[in-house]
Amino acid sequence: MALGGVAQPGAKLSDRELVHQCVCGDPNGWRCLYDRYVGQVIRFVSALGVAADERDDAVQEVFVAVYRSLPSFRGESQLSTWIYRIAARHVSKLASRRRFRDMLSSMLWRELKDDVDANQAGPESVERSSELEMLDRMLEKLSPKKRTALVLFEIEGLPVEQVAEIVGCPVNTVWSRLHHARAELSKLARKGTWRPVTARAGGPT
Amino acid sequence: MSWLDELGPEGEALHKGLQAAQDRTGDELTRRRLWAQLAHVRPAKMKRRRWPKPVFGFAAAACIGALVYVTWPTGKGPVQMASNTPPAPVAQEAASRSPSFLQGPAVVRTGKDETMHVRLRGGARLALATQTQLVLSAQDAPEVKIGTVSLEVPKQEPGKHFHVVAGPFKVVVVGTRFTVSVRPESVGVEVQEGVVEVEREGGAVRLEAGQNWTGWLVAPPAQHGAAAATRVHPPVARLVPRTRSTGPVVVPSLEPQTSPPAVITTPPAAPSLAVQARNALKAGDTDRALALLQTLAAQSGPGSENAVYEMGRIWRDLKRQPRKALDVWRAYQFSHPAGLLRHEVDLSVIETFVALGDTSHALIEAEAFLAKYPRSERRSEVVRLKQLLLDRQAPAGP
Repeated sequence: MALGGVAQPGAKLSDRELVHQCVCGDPNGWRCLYDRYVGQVIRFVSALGVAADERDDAVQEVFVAVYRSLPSFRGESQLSTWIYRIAARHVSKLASRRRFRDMLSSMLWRELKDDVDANQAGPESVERSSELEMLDRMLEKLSPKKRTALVLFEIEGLPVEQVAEIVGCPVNTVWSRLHHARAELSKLARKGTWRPVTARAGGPT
Repeated sequence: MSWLDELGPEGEALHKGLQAAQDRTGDELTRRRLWAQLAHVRPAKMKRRRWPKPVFGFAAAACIGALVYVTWPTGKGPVQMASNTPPAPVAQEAASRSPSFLQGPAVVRTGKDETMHVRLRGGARLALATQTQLVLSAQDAPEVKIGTVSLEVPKQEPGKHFHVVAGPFKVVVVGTRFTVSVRPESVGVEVQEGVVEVEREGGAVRLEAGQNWTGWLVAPPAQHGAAAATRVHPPVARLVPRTRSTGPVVVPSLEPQTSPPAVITTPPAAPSLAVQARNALKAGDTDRALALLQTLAAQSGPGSENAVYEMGRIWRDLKRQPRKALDVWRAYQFSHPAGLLRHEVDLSVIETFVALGDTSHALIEAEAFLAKYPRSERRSEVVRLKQLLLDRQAPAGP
């Protein structure tokens, strides 16, 4: 990506050269690395369910972590694998923080939770949603492990071997998670949770 | 995807959803805004590796063993050791010009009119100026207790970094030549080659070749007044670019600078203000967020530009005062003709004029935008908008 339509110096560099530039303190290297991976990170954290109001912070935190840990990057895996791993860890932390916050709010302020639940479960709001919003809602029903595997494979388009490297489990486990995640999504779709805009055009509102 | 085909129409919609998710890579505005916030980020402390608990036991035993080995009397070398510390295992020749090998743990001190050259494991070369005390840890990490040390550090392998402790600061090096000076009132770092980072809790300063930096342990009289000079302050990070100096040992001037230094960054302040402003916004306290952003905007750098942009957004979107937003963004356009967020600000100005129904101003801004950004990703959008505005203006014409 070239921000502002201006080609960035170092756009043709390999990941290894880019890391070397960053570690040597070259600001162009850092900018180039950001440009190269920001899209992936935004897409990945979005697909893992980070709320829109937290997305910028999450992406920023991922890049700060990437930059700070760059000197420890040994080049044993692809740079993208390493960045995905950092992003997945951050999202997991965010999710646990969110769970804790929700738990506190449900204890302290039950009405808030009721409102949120009502908003999430309302059939009308479900019907009005686009395909993407519906996908997000269905992904929310998956466990974090299955969701990560599915997102990396189906949305990020990574090979299973790389997914296994990112999530830190054997390849067969990834296949198994993928199988279960797909089965659950299919089940949700068949149950009628899925009401796409296109299929609904002539139906009752 | 075969598993989606089996689902029929639901599968088709799911497929569309997955495709939409693949396209969700953030628009240019988001990316630029994120970059503006990230541009001032500099690597701080490396994360500590968490070792399993039994390792601590072995490490403690090893430390005790090393301590016994080090403190075992093995004879006295010519190096002046710390007053209550027995001689180091490797004796050093004071005033020697050829670097001798030094292995930690050790304490080395040079007297009046004495200098010393030492070499560490890994190839780093240290030149101790007169009246300098250097402590070398068991891992060969040097700490300058007092005095001036010039270092020449060879290129480190990826994942490794060399650091020097100087008072409350840590000077992190990738591979370079630089000088560290520790005085009771200040810590100074001067870089001759390469790049170093001076770190302290909450922030870091990046120094490039030819720059020097002073972290004050007490407030300099010229800055805070005579009364404040005796008060101990948190070190103030100030970056003073200087011309490249030559010679292996350069003692930077530690006199308090009387003229205001060229402030490149004050790392601890900028991020914390931005974070505070974000937190205030999340809590719905827009006034506080605006006040914090105002302070941040008064500084320099990308963080300040981003603060101005965010102020405009708050005025327009949260406080529903688009005129105020326009004032803020106009000021930004005036003060930053080639600012990092100029493109976004110009677009926001157009959007705000459109929202206000001020067609003529919106048209002027849109035309200026099209002339200024011939390769903008939003160009087609602005062209369409301009046409709409022209259509809107047409009935009002003669």
